[in-house]
Amino acid sequence: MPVPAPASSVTPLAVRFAQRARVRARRERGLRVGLGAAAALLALLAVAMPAFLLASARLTPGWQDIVLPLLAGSFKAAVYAVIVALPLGLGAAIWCARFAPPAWRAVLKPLFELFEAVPAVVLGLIAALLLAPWLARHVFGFAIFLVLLAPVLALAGMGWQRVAPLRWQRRWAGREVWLMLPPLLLAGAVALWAGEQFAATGLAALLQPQTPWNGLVIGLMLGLAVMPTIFSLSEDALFAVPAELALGAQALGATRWQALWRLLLPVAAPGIVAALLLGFSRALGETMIVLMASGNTPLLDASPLTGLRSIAANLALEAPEAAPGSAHYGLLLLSALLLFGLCLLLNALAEFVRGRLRQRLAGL
Amino acid sequence: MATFASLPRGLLRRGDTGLWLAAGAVGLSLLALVALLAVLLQQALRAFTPAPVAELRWNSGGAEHTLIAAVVEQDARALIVRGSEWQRRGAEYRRIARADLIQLDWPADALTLHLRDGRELHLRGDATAWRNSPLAVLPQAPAGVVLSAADVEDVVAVNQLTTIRTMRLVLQRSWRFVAGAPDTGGGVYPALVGTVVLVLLMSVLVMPLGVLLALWLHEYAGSGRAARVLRAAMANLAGVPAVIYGLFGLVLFVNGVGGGLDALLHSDVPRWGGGGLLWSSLTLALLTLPVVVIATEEGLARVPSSLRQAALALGATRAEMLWRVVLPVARPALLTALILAVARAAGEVAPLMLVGAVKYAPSLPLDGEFPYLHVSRQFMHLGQSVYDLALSGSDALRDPAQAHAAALLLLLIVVVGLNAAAIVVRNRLRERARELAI
Amino acid sequence: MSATDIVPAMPPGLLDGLDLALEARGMSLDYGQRRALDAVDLQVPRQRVTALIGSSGCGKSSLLRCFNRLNDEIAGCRVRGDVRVLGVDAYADATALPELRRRVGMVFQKPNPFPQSVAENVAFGLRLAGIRSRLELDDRVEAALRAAALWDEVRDRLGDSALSLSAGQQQRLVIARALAVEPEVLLMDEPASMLDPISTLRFEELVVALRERYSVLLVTHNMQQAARVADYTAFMQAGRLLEFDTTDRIFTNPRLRGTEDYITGRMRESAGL
Repeated sequence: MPVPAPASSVTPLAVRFAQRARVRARRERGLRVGLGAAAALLALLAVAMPAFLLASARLTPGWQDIVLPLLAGSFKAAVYAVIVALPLGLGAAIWCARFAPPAWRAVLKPLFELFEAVPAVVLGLIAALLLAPWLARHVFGFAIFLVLLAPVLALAGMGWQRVAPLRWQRRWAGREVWLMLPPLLLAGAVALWAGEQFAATGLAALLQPQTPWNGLVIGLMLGLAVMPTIFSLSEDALFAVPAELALGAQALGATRWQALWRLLLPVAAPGIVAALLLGFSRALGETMIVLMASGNTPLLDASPLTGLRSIAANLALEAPEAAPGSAHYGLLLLSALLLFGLCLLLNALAEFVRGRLRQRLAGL
Repeated sequence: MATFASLPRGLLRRGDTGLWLAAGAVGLSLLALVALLAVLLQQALRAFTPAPVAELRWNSGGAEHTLIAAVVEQDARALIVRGSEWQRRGAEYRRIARADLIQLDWPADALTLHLRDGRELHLRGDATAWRNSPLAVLPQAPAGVVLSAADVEDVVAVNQLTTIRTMRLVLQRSWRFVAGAPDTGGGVYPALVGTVVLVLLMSVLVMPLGVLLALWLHEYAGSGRAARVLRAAMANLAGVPAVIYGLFGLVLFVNGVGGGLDALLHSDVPRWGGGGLLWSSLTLALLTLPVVVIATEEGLARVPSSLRQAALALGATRAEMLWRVVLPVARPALLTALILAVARAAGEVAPLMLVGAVKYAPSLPLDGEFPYLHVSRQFMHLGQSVYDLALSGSDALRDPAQAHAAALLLLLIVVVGLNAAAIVVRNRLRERARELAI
Repeated sequence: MSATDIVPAMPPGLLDGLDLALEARGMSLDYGQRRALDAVDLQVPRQRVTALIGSSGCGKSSLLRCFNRLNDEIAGCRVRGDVRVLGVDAYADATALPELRRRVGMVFQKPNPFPQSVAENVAFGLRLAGIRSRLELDDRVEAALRAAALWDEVRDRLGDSALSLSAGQQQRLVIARALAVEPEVLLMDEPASMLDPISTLRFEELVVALRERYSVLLVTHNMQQAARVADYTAFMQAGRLLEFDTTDRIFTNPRLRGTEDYITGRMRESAGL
């Protein structure tokens, strides 16, 4: 490429630049090529994964008997996980976004983010070796705890608001979490004690799980694992709703909670729905917790007191042994395809719903 | 959660029920976190605290038995004890019902000998005497078992331990755990080495590719159609479960490329066609690619356009502007991306189970013989060790305890070390951006 | 009907005998659908200071950026017409962009030094030329800082971060950075608008001094500044160049009513009326 050089300015520096021009242009071209290659590689990868799954998956006759229990197992695990994760995650998000002082929020958000980073194998370990045996012995107590939980918390809170002197209430405003800890611990202790006392009753026998490694354990631990996902997305959605909306309602006499329930939650609903979808997707794909704590028994049974085997756990167990090209292999890939497709669908749906949230917020 | 219709009206109107429930949710989550950590710590400590040694006499099958053994668990109904392990580690567990017990003593001169291969022997005697004199054949040993002083790692008078001595012992044994190998008494050193090497190799693969992609997406592609499609592809790839990546790696790399390589090189023993370090690194690189791209893009977006303009106005080419101005300013974001990717790689087990991590690898992937880094070898991984120790260990009681210790180590490294570092770096990045914008 | 139909922007023969640094003929600039510059004819003489004045949004900055093709970075931007920089067609396919931009330095409204040391900022362009010798770099950095009237203030602080300098010093650092690669034209986009009055005056002194070696095209909304510093002044409105003349004549006897209105209006503003 000719370098423009009018007669008046061929200084030594200009000459140096002219000498370097080729090298610099070559590096620029090289970068372009590198970038294009990277982009092409990504495109290739994005296409290759579903493609190879589709190519090798086999619909051998009788596939339903093998694949459907696995699919049901994945769903069972994910549903129970979300049942645990949604109240915890959404509740925490609500408190964090709307009722927490900024100092709390600055600590809680990273803390939950850190929790999301806990390796699943650690959670699986605790679930398999500690939670499962413990829960098997104390199911009844645990059930009592679940029943007591909401009423105890609500009563404690109401009691505080009615009975405690205003000075105290003002001091503890924004620190309700500390106030809720004693009732929680109390409810837990009472429930466990009651569980021990009435362990011999018929109701307790009904609740006795067939195996310590069951849907309940999975639901709890997997729910705990997925809760940060639901928390952070819901929290973002709720936090993004402008405060004026709530202030307006409060000026008209609504309590903070009423403003939240009737105004903010509906506005942030798309974000929360997206959080739910993504949490469900994550729970579907989670392998280690289910692998370690589910008993890996492929049952078509919705009860939380029996085991399950999920697609992901099945893959981890059987894929290394399967011979490429065999029917077994084809079925494994079919199950993987199902899982892949489901997660893709859920993610796309969540993205779409989040787009609605953005639109809604932009319009406010 | 209670339904609002069922509560009396007055309560509803007066109160913020939901507020208390929400605060309760936070409290419950925090309690769960604390409980998890506490229980993990407690179990890990148990792995390193020596069990007290008792001298027992009990009735069984009409005959009377005596034994000097360590009492590892006990409840109202029975005791679980571990006798001297003359032959094999984990082969001397017994369950003795309290009802059958005749006598249970805790002799002050009880000793536990820790052998180098992880076995324990229990007997009575003088600790200092045993430590000094060499052993030939111990009096209670079954015929033919020979021990030398070199086999003995430590002699502990377990029933006379002070708190300080116990703490010192726990630290000692924790260190041996971290620095030792599984066949010398239980240790995770090979797993640590494997994890570190894996993570390094993966970083070398994923960082350049991820940064290039982020540069392309942010600096060149803008909001054209190609960019939107690839961004969507990236978002979708981020949502794919890790085990599917593992499957992909298994099929494409291990069976496909690896099998092909083996066929090409005419090797009978599957060298490339089995799981290995290279395939694992590649698989994890693909897995963490979206993380790196997104974190890097975030950093690129924070570079003020005024700096880019300044560089271009001086006659820099695009490549020079990116290399000399933009990337240096975005360095904290690149670091964050690296840390997040590494944290993920250290913690993921499922894909590795399919592409190369094994329960026991006879040699390290990094050693002194050429070519020093053996990328075709199978390797051990810390997360995989947790899984193996927990579920398929040979010692039903000590291995799960070690699993907890390994899990705690993994947790410390991944959560406290890496992710906390990422948060600190990210905060510094935000401060830097604010600085530049002033 | 535009003013250009009736009266040519520049009196004929005004720039006879002068070499031209920049020349635009019939230049139009579109950002997508929006037309930012319309049939602009502008001639900027060498080794003189030319001021570009006009109300906000009239396209002054866009015009400036056409000459070093920084507008190319904006998606959907199209330039039509003839643009010559130092005698060469700037928009020809054969023109090397980095070299063009080297020879046409730019100073922005807000000082934008790199977050590096003072010396590294100035040496940035030199490194692009492949200069690595510490000695040569130091010499050239010193020369550039002297030319920008900044040397005495930073000679002991060459290793300090550029962001630790005052705004006025940063702006002069930016000039030093641009001067280091030996440009021939300097484009300045309201360079003193973020500086305090004293720094502004020092800056203006520098511009006048730079006139000896460089051709300066200076965008300003400060009439006094234009009067103090510029040899020639161009008045723009709504993407069109309406009048071009010596600064004296533009300020004392503009040919167009619009020019007069603008100048007296701004004079009044800055006088606080």
